[in-house]
Amino acid sequence: MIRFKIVTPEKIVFEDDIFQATLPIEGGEVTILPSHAPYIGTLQAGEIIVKKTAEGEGESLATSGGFAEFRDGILTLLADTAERAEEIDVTRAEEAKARAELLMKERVSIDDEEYAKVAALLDKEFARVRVARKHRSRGGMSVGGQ
Amino acid sequence: MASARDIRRRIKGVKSTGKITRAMEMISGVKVRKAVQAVLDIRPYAKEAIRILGHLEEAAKHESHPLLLARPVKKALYVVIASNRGLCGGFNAQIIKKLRQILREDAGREQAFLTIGKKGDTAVRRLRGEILASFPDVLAAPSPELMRPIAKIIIEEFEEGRVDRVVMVYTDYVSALLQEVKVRALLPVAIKDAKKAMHEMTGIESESDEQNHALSAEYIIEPSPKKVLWKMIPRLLEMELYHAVLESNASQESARRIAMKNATDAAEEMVGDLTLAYNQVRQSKITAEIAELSAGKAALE
Repeated sequence: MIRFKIVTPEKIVFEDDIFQATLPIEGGEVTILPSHAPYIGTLQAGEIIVKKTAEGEGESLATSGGFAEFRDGILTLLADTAERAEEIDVTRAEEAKARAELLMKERVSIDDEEYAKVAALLDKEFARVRVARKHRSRGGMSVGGQ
Repeated sequence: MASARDIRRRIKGVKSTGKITRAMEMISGVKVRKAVQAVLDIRPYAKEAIRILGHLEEAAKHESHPLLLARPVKKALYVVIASNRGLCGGFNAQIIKKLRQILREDAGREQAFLTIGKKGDTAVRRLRGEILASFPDVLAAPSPELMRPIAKIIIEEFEEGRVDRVVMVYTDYVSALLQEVKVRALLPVAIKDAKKAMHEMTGIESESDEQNHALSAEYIIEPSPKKVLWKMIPRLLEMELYHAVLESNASQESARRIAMKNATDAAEEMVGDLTLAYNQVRQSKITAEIAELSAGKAALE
């Protein structure tokens, strides 16, 4: 088992014993199993999938980036933000996503910095919506007619 | 002597002022608790950050980063954290006093300012300082994300060589009765100082460096120790700013609570004095009326 903890500057989002965790890292994904070597990496905006048992279904969380460390069976994420699927308000997330997309379309001539900011926002919102939708559909509810 | 009606009007006025100051006192009390709680909530994050930073530092020992390099200081940037509103006792005055003191010590160097809080704006303008940016809106509901643009400006100014040193001036909340203005260097980053700052946030001591040393060798660090460290440095700045804003907010509200408590007490005392004066006026009026009446009656007999 892995002792898994996600901390953000505002709170401890998740703390539990798990079997494996898949993390969105720069340039791809990494899955941490109990026997993984000590590891430090940077997270990017995306979905964290946690499995409590080998066969069990995964639980998803959305993150906007941060750092991951694994050592001696303890996996620690220093996340800028992290939200559990059930915490994400889908309507709010969808709205925010629409807003971010609109921003991308509207501002064709914005400078790189602004663009990067919007892109990061969009990334974050996409990750949140993805996680929330998955969670909902599993619960048997449809989301936004999709 | 004032008429009874005048005194009554004043009593009413003072009483309603007292009600307002009492309400403000209670609101500030709640806000202090909230800010103090938020400071405590950073602890787990700060604790883990110190640990990871220790490993990274060891692994990236021979790499250097532009933000880590000290250079001769031609121009310094001061980040001043004050409040947006007054009625908080000597809170802002203390910060400004300290700021003037450091500015005197650093005289001869060029100076620029970044202000958080409108009261800081006014003070710096009065000193005829150059304000690069002002962030009055982050004080109401501080969050780490709100610190990002501030950290970004600071880093940009430093990287592009426009300023050679960044210092933060804020008020540290020691206890309800004691708040201390502190000065802390933000850039160039000394990893040692950053770790010390994190320790102050957590209030605990770290594992020994030797232990870190032995462990660091085993880590797989992706994409590379250097890159992870470089990504982490801006985060550390954000955390330090966030922490300082929270400490400052706790201090500000605590100072306001005490100022408002004094005002409420003063109002109560004043109401007491005025009531006494009012009763005296009323009594002397009654006595005078009785005297007139009995005088009138005596004249009739």
